[in-house]
This record gives sequence, structure tokens and C-alpha cells, in this order.
Amino acid sequence: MADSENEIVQEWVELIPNPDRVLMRVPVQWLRSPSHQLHEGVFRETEGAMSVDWEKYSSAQETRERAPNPSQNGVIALVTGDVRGIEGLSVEHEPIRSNRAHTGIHGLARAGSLPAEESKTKRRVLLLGLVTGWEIDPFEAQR
Amino acid sequence: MSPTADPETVEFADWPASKRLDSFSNFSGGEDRLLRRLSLWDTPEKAPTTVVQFPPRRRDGIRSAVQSARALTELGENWDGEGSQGYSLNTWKRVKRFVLTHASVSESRFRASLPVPTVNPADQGSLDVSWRLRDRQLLVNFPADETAPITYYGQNSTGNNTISGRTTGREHRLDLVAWLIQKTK
Repeated sequence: MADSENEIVQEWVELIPNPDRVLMRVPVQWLRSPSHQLHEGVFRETEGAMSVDWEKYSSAQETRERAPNPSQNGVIALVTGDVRGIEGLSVEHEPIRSNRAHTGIHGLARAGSLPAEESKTKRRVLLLGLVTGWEIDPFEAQR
Repeated sequence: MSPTADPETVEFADWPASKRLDSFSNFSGGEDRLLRRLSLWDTPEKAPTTVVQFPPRRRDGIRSAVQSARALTELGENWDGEGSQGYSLNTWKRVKRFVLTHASVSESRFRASLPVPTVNPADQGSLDVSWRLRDRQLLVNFPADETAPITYYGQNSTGNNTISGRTTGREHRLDLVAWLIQKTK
């Protein structure tokens, strides 16, 4: 039986405009010491999509607070239209009761002009190229 | 210290010392012809290639980058509390073999040092080897399943020059080495 807390609330679903940003949580464990540099490996799907938050309904701080251990998470931002500009990727608003901002980036491992595995490697490079920096830098205190 | 007394030296005992090149693939016809003109094509009739000494700093950087990534194999399952799969020693060994072999090939065939990569954790137990250079980058992904293809994607800073494909990790990919060491204006 589906968890009603995680079911999409259809009446809340909107089309996210291309100029709007989505926010993505990055656990610090995914970043290797000592450089803590962002890398392509942070783009990964959970249950078929990359989970992000639409900035219309969530601040970067709120996105961070939704993590099991907020202090161990940073937040980055992606412009929706830029993500959609990567072949095979779609950005869909998927609000749930506990998080109206919840959004899915779909298609990371979908076959495109290249087979699925190569497409995924390519898309991760392109996604990293869209990141301009931290919205919340988890290592700020250490810098 | 003798070479065998240093654990790291032992770990890297299979650093290719001198090796004949087997083959490389995924070249288009045009690149093929270009490489033949440049005498970069494998020539089995030639004597085995002698490896030139690495500039110590670059060689140490590559060894260090690969060696430090070994710690990823000790993370286990759900290492991030987000349900992520762990990284196997076998996957890391394939990364090590690939990077060190191609560093050696770069020296022996192109007389140029391979830039130092970073080795990063990716999803589903796979490891990424990433070169992010001033004017281009290359990402090579090693899946946990050793029968699955190693995939790569590279592009220059403007995105109008790209390279992508797959490899088994068993062949020497001079095209990837050339991509990394190319001189651009």
C-alpha cells in the first residue's frame, strides 16, 4: 500500500517555469576530503528520479532542514530550463503532503542519442556544468 | 626505504613498467587516418615501448589520487545514511589499473604526463574518475558490475568538441589519453 505522505497531491501540481530554480540537497558524505569539491557523482536517482525542491515553495534553508541530518548537508541550485535543455531530462513538480516544493528530475539514465549508460555519464557532466556554487555551503565554517 | 618496505609501493607494484600496446578502438575513420599519419597507431612489429620516467610530482599525484580513493571501499552499505550502495575493492582495482596503465601509456607513447584526476563516489556502487582541466574535462565511470561497460564523456569548455563512448578497460585507449594531454590555444 502506498504511503499517503509520499503520494503526489494532484491538485497542487503546477508547471514549473523554465526561469525558476530547483534546489538540491547534497550530503557532505558524497564529497571527498580534503577538497570537498562538488563532482558529477552527486547527481544520482532515488526511486527513478533525482529529488529536488522548487524554489517557489522552499528556501534553501528549508530544503536543508528536510534532511535527516541538516548540518551534514549543503544545497545547490539548478535553473529548470537549463536542466530541461539537457537531452532526455525532464523536471516535474511532484508535491507531496509534507513538501509542496517536491520536484523530480527524470531521465538521468534514460537512453537518448547515446545508449543509457553513456547518456547518464554525459548528463551528469552537463548537470555539474549548470551549478554555479553553493546556496548553502556545508563547509563554510571550515573555510 | 626499499621498494617493498613501503606499503604504498606494494599496492602499486603492478604499475606498468614496460608494455606493448594492444589495440584501441572507437576511432572514426578520419581520426584513424590522422593517427596513422602521426605514427600513433599501434605497431606490433616494433620493439616493446620503453617507459620514460614520470616527472615525480605528477606521478606521485596520480598515485596519491588513486590510493586515497581506496578508502571508499571501506565505507560499506548505506555509508551516507541515504541508502547508497558501497564500493567494492574490485571496482577500485579496475580504476587503479585503468588510470595507472593510461598514465604509463601517456608517457611511453606521447612523452607527456597524464593530468592528475580525482576519483569520486557515484551511484549504484560505481566510481567516477574525473579530469577537470582548464579548457576541457573527461569523466570516466566504472560500474560495480565488472561485466557492464565503463562509460566516458568529455567536452571542451565551450561544449563544441566532445568525446563519448564505452570501453572494457582491457584495451589501451590512446584516444582518451590524447584527449587529456592535447595542447590547445
